[in-house]
Amino acid sequence: MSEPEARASDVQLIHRVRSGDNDAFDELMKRYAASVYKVTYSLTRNHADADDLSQETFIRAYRAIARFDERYQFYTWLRRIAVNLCFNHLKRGKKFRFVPLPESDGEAESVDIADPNPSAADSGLRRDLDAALAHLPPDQRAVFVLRVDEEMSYDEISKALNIPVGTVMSRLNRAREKLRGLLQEYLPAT
Amino acid sequence: MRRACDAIRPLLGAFADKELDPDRTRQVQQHLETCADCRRELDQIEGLGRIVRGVQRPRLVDDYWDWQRDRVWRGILSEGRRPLLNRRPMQAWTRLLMPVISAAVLLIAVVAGWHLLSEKSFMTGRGMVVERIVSQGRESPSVAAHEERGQVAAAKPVGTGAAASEGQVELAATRPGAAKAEAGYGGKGLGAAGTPSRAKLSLAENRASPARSAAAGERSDELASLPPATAQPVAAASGARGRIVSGPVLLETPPLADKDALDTGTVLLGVKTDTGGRVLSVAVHRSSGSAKVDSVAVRQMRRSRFQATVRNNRSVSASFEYPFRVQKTQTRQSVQPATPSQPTKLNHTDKSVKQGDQPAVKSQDTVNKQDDSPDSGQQQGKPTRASR
Repeated sequence: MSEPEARASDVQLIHRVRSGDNDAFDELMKRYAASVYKVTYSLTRNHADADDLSQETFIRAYRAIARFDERYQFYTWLRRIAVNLCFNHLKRGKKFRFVPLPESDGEAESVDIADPNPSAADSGLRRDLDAALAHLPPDQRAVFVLRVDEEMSYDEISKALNIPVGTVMSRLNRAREKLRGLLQEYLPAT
Repeated sequence: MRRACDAIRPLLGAFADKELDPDRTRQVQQHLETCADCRRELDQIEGLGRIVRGVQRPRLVDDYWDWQRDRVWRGILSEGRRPLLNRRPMQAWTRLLMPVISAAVLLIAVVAGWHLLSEKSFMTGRGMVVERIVSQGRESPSVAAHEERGQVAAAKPVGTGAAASEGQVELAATRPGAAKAEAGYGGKGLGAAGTPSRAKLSLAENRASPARSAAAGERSDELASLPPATAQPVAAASGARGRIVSGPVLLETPPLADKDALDTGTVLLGVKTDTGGRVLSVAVHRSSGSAKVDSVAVRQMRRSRFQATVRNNRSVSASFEYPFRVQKTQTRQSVQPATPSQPTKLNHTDKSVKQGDQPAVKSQDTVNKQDDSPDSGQQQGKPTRASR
């Protein structure tokens, strides 16, 4: 599906959601659940947090869908919600704790959402990368992840985090400098 | 070269990200051709990106979608997260108009409320004075006729105290044999400062049609001889429901000494009475403009007595505003409440205290109109029939 077709399809689903069709929102969630999870995981480096933040992203999107501007891509809007939630989460420096839902059952909550057996070679790097990212201040971490992991442009990051492009660039430089020091063993020799 | 590196290195990240403008991109490229240190740094920047992107992300389990969908819907449907369906996005013009619409609705509500409270609403019962609008009654010629004939008077002003503060004041001044007097509920009443906010309630004034007025005038002597208006529960006589409150009615005020009646003016007094109608305190809420008149009015009011205010069949202390008029006439000086007192008090003083059909409670607005009206001026120069 081309981008215009995907956008038109998204808009149709959004119209259906606004008219009370919850199946349409199911379809939107199905389309973007993995993408949203990828963003939240990239920013939090924590499966539980990423999952909670993904859930919250869709909940907020549902409640705010009446205000969605159809001139923009739905995923761009969704991602911005996710980024803001994650950024606030990182700034608070603590995990999201949602009140247990009365309808929830323990079985569903215990589902492992991540593959428990990543490759051994990758696990070391990932662990070190997670540790290095954890050393970054939230503002630098968010900018770096959005640029490198999400491949967002400076302008998109600027809008998503509501900061000037110059600030995006300076935060990126500081983040890279710190990470190069922490991940030196994985980088080309200087 | 060192200085050139210091200028280029901050741009290497943006260069790697292809976010530099063409001029700076060329500048960096030219520098990199000659600077090995900066090339190595660029290699590390690009390598960092590669390893981050190369790290395998957690692979979601197969049933993740179902699990997440259930969680989201539980979150949406849980308490405080009710679905907001069928909502449309607010358009820009709607957002701009919202304050205007809100202001218009508020204005309409205020105006409508004002008119509703100003409209004549009759609640007549057996010999009951219930409600009416003060301002209308004051403007009515029939009222003047009543006053000239010294008819029934039950006083009262803008309620601000025990009765009025309840916000549901009804006035019931029963006058046996007082024809079909109609009373009003004057929500339009103005307060001491002449602002609507000051008085939400103004209590009634008798008002009759010209025919009724004439008929009443013929009975003026009879009416003048009646005992003062007695507050009675509306429900008791008319069957109306709800709380019953009678406004304070001025029963007596002492004669004004000649030395005190040197000027004319109306003072709006704040009066507090006890459950027996005795004046506890008096304060000037709006000056007459003359300190002498103010002082006289306060002194007179302190020595006055009101009919006890009754609410829900119980006497209560009250706090209210009362317009008090001190008058100097050509032949004699007088003091009188701007809302005339009872006809029964006319004969025991050589200072003319005008009497007339009065509402149990009236607003300052009415008082002002009365004072300004031609009829009022004529009346002031004439003794009432009752006083004759």
